[in-house]
Amino acid sequence: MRSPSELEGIAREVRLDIFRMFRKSGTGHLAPALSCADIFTTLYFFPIINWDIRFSEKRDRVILSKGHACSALYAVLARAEYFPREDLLTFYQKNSLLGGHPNVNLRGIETATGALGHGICFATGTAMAAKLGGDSFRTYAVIGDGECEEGSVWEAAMFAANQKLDNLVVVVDNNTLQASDRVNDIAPLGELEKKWESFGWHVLRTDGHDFNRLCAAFAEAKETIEVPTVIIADTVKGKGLGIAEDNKEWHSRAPKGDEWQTVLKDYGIDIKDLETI
Amino acid sequence: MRNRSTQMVYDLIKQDKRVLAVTADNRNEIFDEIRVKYPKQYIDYGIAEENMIASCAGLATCGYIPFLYTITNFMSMHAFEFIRNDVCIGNRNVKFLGRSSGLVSCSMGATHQGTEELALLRTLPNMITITPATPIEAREATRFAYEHEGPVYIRLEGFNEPELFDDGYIFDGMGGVIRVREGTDISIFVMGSIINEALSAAEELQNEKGISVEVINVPSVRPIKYDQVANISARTGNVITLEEHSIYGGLGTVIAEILARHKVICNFKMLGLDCCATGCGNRNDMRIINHISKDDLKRVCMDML
Repeated sequence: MRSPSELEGIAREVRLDIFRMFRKSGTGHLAPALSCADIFTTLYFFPIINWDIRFSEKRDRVILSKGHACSALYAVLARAEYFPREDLLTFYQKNSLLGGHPNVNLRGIETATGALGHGICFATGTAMAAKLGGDSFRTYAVIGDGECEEGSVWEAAMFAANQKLDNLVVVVDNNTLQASDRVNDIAPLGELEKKWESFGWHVLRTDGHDFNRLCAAFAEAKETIEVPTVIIADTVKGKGLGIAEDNKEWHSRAPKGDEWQTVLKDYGIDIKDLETI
Repeated sequence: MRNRSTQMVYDLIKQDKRVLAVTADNRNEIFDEIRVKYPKQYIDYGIAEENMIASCAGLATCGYIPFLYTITNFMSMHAFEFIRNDVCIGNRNVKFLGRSSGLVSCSMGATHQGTEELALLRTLPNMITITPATPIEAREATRFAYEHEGPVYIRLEGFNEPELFDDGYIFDGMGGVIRVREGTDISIFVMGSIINEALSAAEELQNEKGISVEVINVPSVRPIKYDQVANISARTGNVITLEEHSIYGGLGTVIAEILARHKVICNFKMLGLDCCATGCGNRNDMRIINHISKDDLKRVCMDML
């Protein structure tokens, strides 16, 4: 078990790897990845998942339903030895498996996501499979708050509760922004906690950047029986890059020109540090 | 053919714990029995086809073989992207039994008539699309689906379609077509139980006009053996397609693609639905209203010669 301060150190390295990927690609969804980087860091490095058997058939499943945030997952997977870290610099490049949305052929990717409202449904299937087979592996799905506008999210929510899938944990990366604006200005979700509660889920709410609280929430989910758990993680879109934080212009872009200086300043690094890995 | 297909699912469930009977609030009597006798191999997702399909993709990645049975439009159109992204892109071992395909829903209206789904499904990676013509072909197609690793769609119509094959029929998963009536003047390629209209038309044309028509059953538009279709077409030089499906993207389109690909010069006419089916009535009425009846076919044959 790693301490919150150790996890903070890893999350910093994960963010630097994300910046390295965007320095090379010049494109992609940066802010949505920074939003959930701490959630994936916790899952893989506290660790929440069953680390020792992470490459086996009985592995815990981690599914990034909001697939556009894949650079965060790639950075974490590389650090968790799913593939060489050098591969991160192929992000968006010709013939790479590290494209703008998860490719099922990349080690560590359970399914191709990016069309929203799919990954959570897929996750009910792997959780159901564990129940049917009497297996102890668990399924974690990370979805966006904007993604909760998709009807299929609630089909999955209803099914998981009906089937008592207590081996399923959904994390809502609740950054309050979607592609073009505030969720509240486009299609308000109302009282999100009550929505999930009314669907029969155990609902936890936490700061999605506080490792202490994230770990506690995942631990509580593991102890929860008979019902699935949703962790509504309040996050900041663009977390860790001042100019992008909570800024709706940053859904789908990379830093340009002088904007890279703010990355260097925020992290106390040299541009060469972002161009090698 | 619905019951023959779902009975095969039941038989497989008895032998193999990995096989699951899955529906979205669309049982039949056989699924009802599975639900009671093999509850651990039966899942009803409720009226939630999108979740059903992606969830079954998840189950398939863990070794299960789900057979999804519901009204075809609700699966193949309502949840098309879920079939594409969650099942086909990853080549997941999920089987789709689309009931009420073609005009079998008759007076139920356009929403319930599955008349365009092949145009969608045949474009998907790894997908095999099967249109049985008879109950035994439906049964054997379902057995094939179980034996094949990857997504399979089976277009199921209704009940009591006339049988053309004997019990030993073996389904050709490689896309072979089957000549069910010999003839030398015209080749009619047909998919589905409407093949019986073609057989009746051929018989009457022989008796009334001395026209010799061969009837070819096409159980699969993907895969389909190109050479076989091209050789048959070149031999008579007069080709007609007949289907209870839109002519845009269905059997007619597939045969036309093959004729073009193989540079077969011949007369060619497609009989099928011009987009959604119109009208109300029994199945025969619907075929007449939509210009795909036996008499329509006879007229087209006579015009071609």
